[in-house]
Amino acid sequence: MKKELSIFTIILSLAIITPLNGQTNSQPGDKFTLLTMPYNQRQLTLYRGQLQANAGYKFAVRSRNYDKNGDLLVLKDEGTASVFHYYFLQVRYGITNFLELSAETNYLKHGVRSLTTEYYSLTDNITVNTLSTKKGVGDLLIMGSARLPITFKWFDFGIKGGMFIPTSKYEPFKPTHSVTSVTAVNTFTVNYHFNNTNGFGVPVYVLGAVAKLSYSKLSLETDFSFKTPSKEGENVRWDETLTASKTFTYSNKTYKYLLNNDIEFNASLHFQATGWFNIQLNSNYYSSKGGWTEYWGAKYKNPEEYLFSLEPAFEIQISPALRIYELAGFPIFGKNKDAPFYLFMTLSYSIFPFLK
Amino acid sequence: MKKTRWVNYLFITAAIFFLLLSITACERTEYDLLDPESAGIWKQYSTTNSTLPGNTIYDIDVDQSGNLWATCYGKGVAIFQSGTWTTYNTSNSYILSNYTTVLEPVTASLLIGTEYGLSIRLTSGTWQYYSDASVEYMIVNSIKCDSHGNYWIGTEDEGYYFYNGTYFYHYLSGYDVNTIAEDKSGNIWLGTDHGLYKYNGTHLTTSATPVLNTSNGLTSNSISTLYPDSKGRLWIGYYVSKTASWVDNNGVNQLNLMDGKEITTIWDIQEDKKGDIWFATGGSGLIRYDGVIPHSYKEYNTPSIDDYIYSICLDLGGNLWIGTRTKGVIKYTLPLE
Repeated sequence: MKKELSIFTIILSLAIITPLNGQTNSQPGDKFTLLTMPYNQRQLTLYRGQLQANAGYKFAVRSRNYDKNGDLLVLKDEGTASVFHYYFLQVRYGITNFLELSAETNYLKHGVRSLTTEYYSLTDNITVNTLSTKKGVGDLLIMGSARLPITFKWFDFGIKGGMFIPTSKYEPFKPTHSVTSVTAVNTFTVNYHFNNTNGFGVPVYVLGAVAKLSYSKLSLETDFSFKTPSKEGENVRWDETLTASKTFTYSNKTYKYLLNNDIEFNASLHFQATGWFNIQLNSNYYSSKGGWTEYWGAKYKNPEEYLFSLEPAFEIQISPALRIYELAGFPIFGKNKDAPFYLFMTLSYSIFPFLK
Repeated sequence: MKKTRWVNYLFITAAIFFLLLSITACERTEYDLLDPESAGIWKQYSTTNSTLPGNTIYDIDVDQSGNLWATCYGKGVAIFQSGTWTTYNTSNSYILSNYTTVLEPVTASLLIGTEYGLSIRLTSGTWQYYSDASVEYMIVNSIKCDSHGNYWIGTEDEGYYFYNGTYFYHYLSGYDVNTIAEDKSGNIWLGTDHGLYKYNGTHLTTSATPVLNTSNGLTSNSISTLYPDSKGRLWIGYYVSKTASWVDNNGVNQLNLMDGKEITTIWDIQEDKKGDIWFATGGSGLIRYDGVIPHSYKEYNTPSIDDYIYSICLDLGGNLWIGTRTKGVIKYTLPLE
């Protein structure tokens, strides 16, 4: 109830503030100027009538992670390093110069191959290979963003709110294990293959705020976002049994969970080298806690996670409609969290479909 | 005018920031949540670190109120409540003998098998007992209270006793009845030194034919323990064998325990909340079968436990309680995946 009240208060504040402080926006009406606006002169939301499509690809090398004590573990040494492919698609539209709507989704592909394990006795030998994949389309995020209804010169502030709509198939698919190299009744290789999916399984609210300060060619941007689930969710765990004919039978059990509350801070310093080239250094802090997961009938707190990363990035205006954005991520410290090095490339295409 | 507007903007900005911060501060708290650090932990209770009266635990079980009971061989029986063990023995109760072997919690009472017969402790605290004066020894090996409230008491060399609420009846004299189990369909199974018997409405005699023995699928006729699991399988453990068996609709199946030994004794079998099957063995420690592979827990890889384990049970919270030969009682909280 408290959460709903807070969301309502924000919306009400905006509704009151906007007309009180409304002013004729004096942005230039020339669409070429708007499309090629350098970062240090660009407002936080899209311009009125601007339609933007963003397509991104993130490639992450998951070779290390931070354990519960914050110590760095090298997954490569344990034979469990992996790569991670993340694609995202976003469409944004500027309803006014200070109000924007957007929708986005993603596709994830990630496979972790565990170290081969041997189980043996005097006469028997079972070799176990495990592959755990996670792939699928994520939930649909619908967002609304608003900024101060003023012409951006050196300061801007905006808020955003939205919800992940659970559109994805979030329950894991039935595993596809197999047995190979059978040389005796108890001498064979088991190949476990777990098929996990993407998505939260429940609606998740997103709230955030962002501020931007520009001085000459330098800009400072900070943003904060908070993500919280609307309710508890239910999912399944698969269980397998090996039959005498060396095939698997599967059954599943349901369990309940509550997603963590996630908080994310970004602070970035930008330098507008030329009109078409902007370089930046971003610092990102992610923290996640407050949820729980049911294991075998008992509810356990989800471990607290956090990660701090530095992200150098640049933005290039390729053509009036096309912009490219490239970012590299370097984890610095964290807890209970993978620490991948990642590259994130986004192509951004903008038009004013209703402006001649 | 312009200055006033900027003051307004700054005020609004600050107000929205504080509002967002206050939302994040409204974090939900669930007070009944367990700490993930408590999972996957072995905790030992022995005579040196607790009030447990003895370290040899033949049987362990949980009553309907969630209290844990353990038979401490030569020391009576002990109940674990609020972190403390309370002992009942011949010096402070009317238990038949301190040489307790098995126990079975039933509604409003606890049945305790001893080397001299059956002791019953009612919830009121009163004690009753049954010992057959017509036999030389009534060493109780197994107890089962069936879904109709009848008691089945298996003995060493004296078959079994059936109690219908009024009288005790004696059957199968000369046989060891080591284990008695009731499956989901209400069938009563008796594991003996002559194979596996099923009660079909008529009590057994020595001329009865076992349902299963070595001639039709069992590894050995000397059955030590039976356990019906949640998937409808009846698990069978043997005295000297390196395999366990289970019976389902497809017949008898064998499971090689892969414990590195030619023979072992399976003293007890228990399914955990995850669905894995645990075997308490004499000499091979604990073995967990996850449906595919038997995983071994012995002193060399799990120092907290004993290689000789007599009993295992599950408490209401899903923790495993393990009765050992020399290390008392061990509690194991299942790991999170």
